[in-house]
Amino acid sequence: MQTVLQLGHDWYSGRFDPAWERPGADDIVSMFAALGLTGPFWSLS
Amino acid sequence: MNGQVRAHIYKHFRDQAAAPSTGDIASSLGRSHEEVTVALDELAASHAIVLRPGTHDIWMAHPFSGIPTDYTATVGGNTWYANCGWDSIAILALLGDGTFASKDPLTDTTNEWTVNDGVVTPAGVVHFLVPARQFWDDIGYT
Repeated sequence: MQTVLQLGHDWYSGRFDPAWERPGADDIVSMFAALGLTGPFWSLS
Repeated sequence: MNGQVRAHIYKHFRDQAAAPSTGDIASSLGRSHEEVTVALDELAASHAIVLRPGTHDIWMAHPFSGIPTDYTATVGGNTWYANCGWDSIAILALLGDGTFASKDPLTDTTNEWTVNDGVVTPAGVVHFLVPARQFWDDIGYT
């Protein structure tokens, strides 16, 4: 649960800003990895 | 234009706990109905939002849900519908401490957790069923 709370913060931060842009695949994978979410399940390729 | 529409949608969810209508977006931003529907279509195509099939009604602006679900988040007496368990927690990540809940489909009971000073209690596990690379294959199922 704690990891998912942090993931929610990292994933959704900035959505209220008109200038927000979706992060690229590498950035998303890095975001997952920073939380220990690695391996084939969290891969985007 | 698309960024303004998307941000308006998110702020409307935050402030009203509901999706804005196309008319609301148009009047709030001083845009025509057609301009807004084009923006909504483009935002949906880029996976920034999800529209209810065949309409311009906003189904999802993750983590918010425009339709009632079994997943909720409550902050300061206001309750939002979320798209899944992750999203119910994520609403608190965006809006602050509160509670989130999900209904157990097997027992029809509601389980609730609290986030206080960024700490979730009681402990629990979120099960991600769909691999990340397939999140958008069927976003309703995800």
